[in-house]
Amino acid sequence: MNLAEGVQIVSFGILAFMMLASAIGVVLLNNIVYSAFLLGVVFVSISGLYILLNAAFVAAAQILIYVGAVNVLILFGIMLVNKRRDFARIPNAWLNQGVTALVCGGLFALLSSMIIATPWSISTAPIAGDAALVEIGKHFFTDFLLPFELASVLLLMALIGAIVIARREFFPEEGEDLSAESNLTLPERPRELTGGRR
Amino acid sequence: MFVLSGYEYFLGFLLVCSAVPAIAIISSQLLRPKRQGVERRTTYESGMEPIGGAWIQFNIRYYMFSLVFVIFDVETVFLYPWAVAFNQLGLLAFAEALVFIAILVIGLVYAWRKGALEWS
Amino acid sequence: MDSGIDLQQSFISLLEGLGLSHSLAKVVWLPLPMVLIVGAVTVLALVSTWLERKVSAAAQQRIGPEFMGPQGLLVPAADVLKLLTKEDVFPAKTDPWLFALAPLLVFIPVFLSFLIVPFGQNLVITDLGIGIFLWISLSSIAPIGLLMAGYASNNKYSLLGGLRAAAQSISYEIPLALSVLAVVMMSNSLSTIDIVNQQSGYGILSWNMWRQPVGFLIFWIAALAECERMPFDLPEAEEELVAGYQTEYGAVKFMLFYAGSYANLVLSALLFAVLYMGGWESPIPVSWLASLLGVSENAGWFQAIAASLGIVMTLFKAYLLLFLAILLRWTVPRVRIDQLLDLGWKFLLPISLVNLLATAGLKLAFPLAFGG
Repeated sequence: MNLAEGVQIVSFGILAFMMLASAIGVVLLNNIVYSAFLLGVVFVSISGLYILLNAAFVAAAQILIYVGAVNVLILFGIMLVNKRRDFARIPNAWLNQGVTALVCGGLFALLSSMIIATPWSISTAPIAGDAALVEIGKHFFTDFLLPFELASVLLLMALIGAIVIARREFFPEEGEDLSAESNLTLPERPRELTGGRR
Repeated sequence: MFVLSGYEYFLGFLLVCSAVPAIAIISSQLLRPKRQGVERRTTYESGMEPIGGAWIQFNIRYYMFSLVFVIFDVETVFLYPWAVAFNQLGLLAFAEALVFIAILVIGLVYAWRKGALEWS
Repeated sequence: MDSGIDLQQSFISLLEGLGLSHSLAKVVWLPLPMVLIVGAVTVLALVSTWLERKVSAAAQQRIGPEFMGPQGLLVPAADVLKLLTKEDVFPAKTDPWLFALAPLLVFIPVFLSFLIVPFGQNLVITDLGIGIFLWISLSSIAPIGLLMAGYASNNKYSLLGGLRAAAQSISYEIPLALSVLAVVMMSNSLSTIDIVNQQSGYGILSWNMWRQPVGFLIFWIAALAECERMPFDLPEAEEELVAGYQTEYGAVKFMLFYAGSYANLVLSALLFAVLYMGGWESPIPVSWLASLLGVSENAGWFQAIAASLGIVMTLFKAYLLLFLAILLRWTVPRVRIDQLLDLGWKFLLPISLVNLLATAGLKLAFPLAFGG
């Protein structure tokens, strides 16, 4: 084993530990903001693992999309509803937790047995390395053309769906807020929610 | 088997770059005075006593913008392989990317018309 | 174009001559360019803070710093010393872990991005395959750090500043990435070295700024917005938000933010020079000069001069852009947040998409002029 391989094994160990530890932190921490930031650590470690798997572009895209966009979205979402409220204790909470643990354990067993049972056909083609990006581009426009165009449709659906849901949640429909207004006796009319309807 | 070139420099440079703030923080630990007072640890609010905390709800607008951002970020990433391999792909790929972008422009127009890109 | 000095090869062969193995020699070489670049970047960032003071003063018909060293050149060093010796205050209501971590998250990605900034054919730490994309993806980490700083401070100004900074940063990232993409399309590669080499040949005439006039402007506007420079410095608009997400920060943690922001400005200027202004290429090609003077291009002393000229050229272009950015600070008023987001989403994003498609179309029509 030469130096480079040693460094790779050590980095793999560190990245895997980072990923697992922060993933456990995401689940177990009480402060939801910490969970969101730790999720970013999980994404960064996954990106490091991609580099070790010779997928540099995927690693950078992972950082760009998951850390730079999805995690920011999650943080905005959390801070949007960030009220530090204490949740009331549920009686018989252990029952719920037990059922959840059972479901999660079952799911884990199912997935891991599937992973072990599946005969993975590992490609024997030479590793593309730095030329991978050109290869991806070629595949996008030849044999993976339909998924590529469908991805665009999927993104469009996601965008429209997100806007529709967000608008319904945060902007009252027309006519709905008038009744609420008349109940208030403040001398000042409450300001309109930033105008989403037009 | 690791075939990418240049990542030993990436790792090394990551360590060097992390060492810079570490050195700055450690040297400041050694140099700085250590006094602690209650007054100086109050949150700044234009010289007044702070009213309430800052961990409050804020404008929905930020969330809408980051939603649209996620979509277009993914689109940009999809376009990178297209641009790099473009000289080997030709006219057909141009038309296909045009369709790809056109579909997303519909999304942009929708978001625009529905006011998701309005601040106020 | 593969001529020029290769310090790495000569250093490694020198060590091998001393009896070290090849891999050991490489390990000895590894940290040298990194430490050099980090030191150089720190100096460049410090110089730009001095330049900011001097140019600002000149724009307002003042003299600016004068007594500390010649022309006040020692002011940045005094700044560093001052900030290092200040007391490190953790306000009582902060979240101490996130509060301490946030400056690092802003600082480290900026410095790490210098990995791919070339100062010459071989004067780059490493020519990564994903090149410029590394910078795009690393710069997308910054909003997380800004949100963290805003949240952890538990100060209203900080939270508003952090949110604004993150929103601004994400709004201008897509126009930035798309304008870079148009350049990438012309050079068929993400590597910064290839991008510069594609602009060589006819001196100033072959630079990308002539072929990408729209992308050039989009990149500059978006880069200013990403750096939170003056028409777009809303996150720290001092009249309304005190200092934005930096309000509660002091001493060494403030220094990290400050150094990070100036290093980011230097980085953007350098990459702007690389992407649109031919990087280390001089306006008149060095090979023409060589044939004009009648010297061999492969002479050792000529190559040394050419390499130094490359470094000088890169820095000259970058500082020209920095000067422009500082002048802009005193000539244009700050935009409002709705104007800022409108400019990003409703103007720059559609324009940059059109620019990308136009580049693709022109590349199909005139493959010779647009990098085949």
